[in-house]
Amino acid sequence: MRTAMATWLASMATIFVLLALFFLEWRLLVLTLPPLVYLALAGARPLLAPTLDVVRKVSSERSPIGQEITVMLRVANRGRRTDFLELFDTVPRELAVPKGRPHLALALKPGEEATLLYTVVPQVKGEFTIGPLVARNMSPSGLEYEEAVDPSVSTIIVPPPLEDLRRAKIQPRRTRRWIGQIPSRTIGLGTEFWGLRDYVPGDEIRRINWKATARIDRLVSNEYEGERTGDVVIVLDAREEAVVGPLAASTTEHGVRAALAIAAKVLDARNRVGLIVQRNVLDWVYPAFGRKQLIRILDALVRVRPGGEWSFRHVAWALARFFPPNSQVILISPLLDADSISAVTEIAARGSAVMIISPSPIEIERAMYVDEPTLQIAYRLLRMERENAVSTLRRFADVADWDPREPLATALRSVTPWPRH
Amino acid sequence: MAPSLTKAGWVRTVSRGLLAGLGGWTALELALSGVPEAWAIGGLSLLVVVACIEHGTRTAHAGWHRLGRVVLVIVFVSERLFLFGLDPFAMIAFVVLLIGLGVAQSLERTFAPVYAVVIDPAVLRMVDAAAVGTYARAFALLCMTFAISLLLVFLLPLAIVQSPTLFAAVGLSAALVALITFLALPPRLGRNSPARSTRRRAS
Repeated sequence: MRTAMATWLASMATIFVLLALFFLEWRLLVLTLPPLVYLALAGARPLLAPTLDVVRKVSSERSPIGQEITVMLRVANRGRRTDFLELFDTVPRELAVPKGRPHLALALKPGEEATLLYTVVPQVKGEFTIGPLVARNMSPSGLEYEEAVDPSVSTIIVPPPLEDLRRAKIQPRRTRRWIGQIPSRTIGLGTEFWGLRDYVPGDEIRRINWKATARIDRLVSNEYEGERTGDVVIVLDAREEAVVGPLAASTTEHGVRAALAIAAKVLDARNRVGLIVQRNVLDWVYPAFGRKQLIRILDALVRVRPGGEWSFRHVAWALARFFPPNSQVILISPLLDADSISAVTEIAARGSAVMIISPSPIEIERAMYVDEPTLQIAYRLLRMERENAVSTLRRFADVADWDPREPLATALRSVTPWPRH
Repeated sequence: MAPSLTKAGWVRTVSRGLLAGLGGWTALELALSGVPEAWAIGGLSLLVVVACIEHGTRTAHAGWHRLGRVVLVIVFVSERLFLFGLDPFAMIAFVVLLIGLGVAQSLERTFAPVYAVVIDPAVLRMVDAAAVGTYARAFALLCMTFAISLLLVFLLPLAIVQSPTLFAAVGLSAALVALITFLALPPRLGRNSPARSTRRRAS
């Protein structure tokens, strides 16, 4: 392969020829000789692509944001001697490289080994691949190289941080038939006292209300309010137009954090949780119970990258078509466009209880700029506009207007508790 | 153990030295010409050259280095064409040094960041071997280029195109451009070339 410098030399020689032609001055042709000779000499000795054995080791394949991961790359030359070998390990831009460098230039004798050591720090959540390794046998002329690509890659999974929602109250409005933790306003298995009835054979002894039995002189049993499970579907708006802020602190990243925290909290209370992510494609995880479901949801959330421009109304369609009816829908969206607002009304019109958690794009943008009087005016105008949109939505849904600089639990506490049906 | 910043400095010094030599040469000729307009335009252009190359060095961006070299060659050819006269020996020497500057800048962009981070003595030895070998081979290649170019000036009857017909001049130019294109293309494009058969064999 020729390098850009070869093109530069050839262009320079061509310009000298054209200059000589323009001025009809033969001595200008002399200038074309060095580039021509250099190009000819550089191509005289053929280069071979390097033949290498490559082993890459990472200190941790699963790491939280901000933690250092050491990458060790051992390269052994299995071919001829290479006098000028350049190694480039491909590192995604989301991983900062604070120590070392994924690039090395060295000479390797046959059978000789070299170790490249560097450290990466994940800046955002996601699934990242380090590699492939590109090895170039460079010509000393700087005009030519031959390349070999080692296809092996190492994958690093960086989960989003989990928010503490222990004190927040999130539960579905409507219950299903399975035993859970949500009071269902029907008689059944539970711990909350509901009423009294005559004893019937088969009632447990511990359910007999002895005080009432003594008062009316016949056996009376306690009845309890049944505690059931419910379905929650978390909808995450990760469209291109819903992204505001820098990569590591964008509305989408905050949305992912909120989705994971809510899923963990709701699953912990023995409810079914499903997930829909609208980005380039519509990803979904069908509602299910338990720890495995949390891992499935985490797996889907780790891969969320903002993208896609199609209408948010597809979510309403997917919810109606593929998800259990009357599920509690928790929509996580910055509510930047009319489309997301109309999607909320559509979901609510189909009978689902809707809760909206909206990471405020205004607060994210405000944190990015220096506080100036003009920006203050702009902030106040945008704030009013947003408050109008939120108050409109409060007619159909519970809305938590979340300043992402504060804990999510604080925003959830400000939401009026859902009435039970 | 700290990385070898002295070696990174040496790598930068090579290209800066070449730039100083070429810039000084052009500046000296401009000064000797005694034309105030040439001083002004040439001086300004040389400042642009230094600014471009310095920026390219700081940002490790090849584009700025290339732009700086282009401006430098434009200044040199212009002053030779309009003020000093076209001396083949000096012009060949200048173009060879300019190619050398390009090579030195390319090697600087490769080795300076590597020297700035490598601390392992075993790896450092391999990097040293690559750097010394590459600089030596590049220097030898440039010397050969200079010698062969001079030889060609004396051997080739370039004087026959001193007052050519338009047809002959265009024909010669087309032939030269075709030769440049041929030389600038990758040397092996055949299917069974050794480079292709060994490519992607790393495992």
